[in-house]
Amino acid sequence: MKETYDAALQLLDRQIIASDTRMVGKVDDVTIERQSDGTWRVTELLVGPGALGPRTGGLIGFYMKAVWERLSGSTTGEPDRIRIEDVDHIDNAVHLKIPRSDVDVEGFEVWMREHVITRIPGAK
Amino acid sequence: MKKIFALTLGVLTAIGGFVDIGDLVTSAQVGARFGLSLAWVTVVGILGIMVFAEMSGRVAAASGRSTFDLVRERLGPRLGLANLTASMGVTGLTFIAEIGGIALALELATSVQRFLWIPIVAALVWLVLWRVKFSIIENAFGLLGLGLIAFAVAFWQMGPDWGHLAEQAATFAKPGDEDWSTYAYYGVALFGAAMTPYEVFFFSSGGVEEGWSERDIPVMRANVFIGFPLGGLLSLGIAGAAALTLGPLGVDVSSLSQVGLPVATELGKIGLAVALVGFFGATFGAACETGLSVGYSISQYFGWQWGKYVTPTQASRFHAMMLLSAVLAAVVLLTTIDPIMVTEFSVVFSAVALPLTYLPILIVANDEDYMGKHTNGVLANFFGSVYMVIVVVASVAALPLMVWTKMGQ
Repeated sequence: MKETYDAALQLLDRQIIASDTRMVGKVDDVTIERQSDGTWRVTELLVGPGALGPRTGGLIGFYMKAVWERLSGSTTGEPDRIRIEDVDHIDNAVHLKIPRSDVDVEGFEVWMREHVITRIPGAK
Repeated sequence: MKKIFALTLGVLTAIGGFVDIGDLVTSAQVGARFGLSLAWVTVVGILGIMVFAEMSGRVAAASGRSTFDLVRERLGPRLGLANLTASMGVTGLTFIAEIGGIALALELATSVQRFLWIPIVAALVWLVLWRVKFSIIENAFGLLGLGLIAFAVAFWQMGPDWGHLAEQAATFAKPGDEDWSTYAYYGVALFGAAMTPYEVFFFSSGGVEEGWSERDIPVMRANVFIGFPLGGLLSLGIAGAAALTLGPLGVDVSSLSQVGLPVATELGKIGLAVALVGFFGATFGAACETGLSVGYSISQYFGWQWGKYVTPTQASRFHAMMLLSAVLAAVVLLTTIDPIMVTEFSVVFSAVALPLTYLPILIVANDEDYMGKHTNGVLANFFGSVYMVIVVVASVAALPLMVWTKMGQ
């Protein structure tokens, strides 16, 4: 591990890749927590419009989050997240230890798959 | 032997795939009105697309990341979103133009009205995106596109006065009855057509689709450095043929039959048939490329799984976006909008969006974290920087020129 790490440059907006090499999203935001020794630590990666909206800001960001909340049926408004413990390593992408099916951040993908894509012949 | 075959195939594909509806229409228009006096812009544009295609291909091979993936990483979510919107607008417009172009070509060949063809063509394009393997999409249509050589052959057969043409091209000799403003407007349009942003989105995403690694860099370079200039020659052939046949008649190219006229008069029916096959291959291939690019860019911005290398069920959102764009393109074209006009708009807006596409590539190609030992050398950075200046000038000038000249009238 590097000694210092610029999370804004080297972590935010990076592609997240599951252990089965499938893509699962971007690091749209992170949560950081203060440790007892006074240092900061990234504890979760936040994924999806629920996190990207507030970071984008403005009217567009507001609607991005609002539409996501309505469509995902989220009652808390809390964005989807991946625990930092599930991260294997970070290079030009964030690689997870777990396969895509174990990451629960793809509501829109699942909906699209079930309602549209699998109904078209030849989707396999 | 297999290597030589792959190399030849790649180069041929690059040649045939270089020209799309934007190049075709703009080249013919410019040839008819300005002769070869704007040929230098095509040359500058080809060199530019070579510089940035090589760079984005190298990024894809060295890091496994394609262009739009990096746009957001380097520009942040806000500017990235603005960029996504702009490039989607341009790529979507180009997608519509290609589908409209195919429908026009089919109307020309069958005398069945284009509105009947539009839904069929859009459905066919979608079907190819849905079912056909990436390598086949890339190669088959590129090879068919080689039929456009008919234009170059027709140009040769006309036995032009080479000395006169060379002088025209070398002295930027604007015809007397044209204004400098229209000259500049068509220059920008030609430049936008040669450097359309979707080309690098597609090229770099294709690299990821085919799993390029560092070992593939030489082959990628051969495709770019041999295939692109030869493809550009096709553009010049179209312009030259138009200059010799349409120019003296004072025809202002506004329909597809006029684009094909030089081949028809010089080479007859067979020549025209070959040119039509080339036209169909080039535009159908470009329709697939732009359709894919729409899916690639949106998916890469949001981090969704994308690509033809996985089944549609694994990349549902990616395929949903492409399906949506095919439907949308058909709907837009059925409003009876003129596809040639859509093409003219698409090349000008391409020019506007150029800096947004090429700046992130230049930045990332200099980032050792991504590139390792394949970081930009002095030459790539020199040309990259020079082209950033040119691209910004073209981008700033495009809209004012369009308004000022009333789209070149």
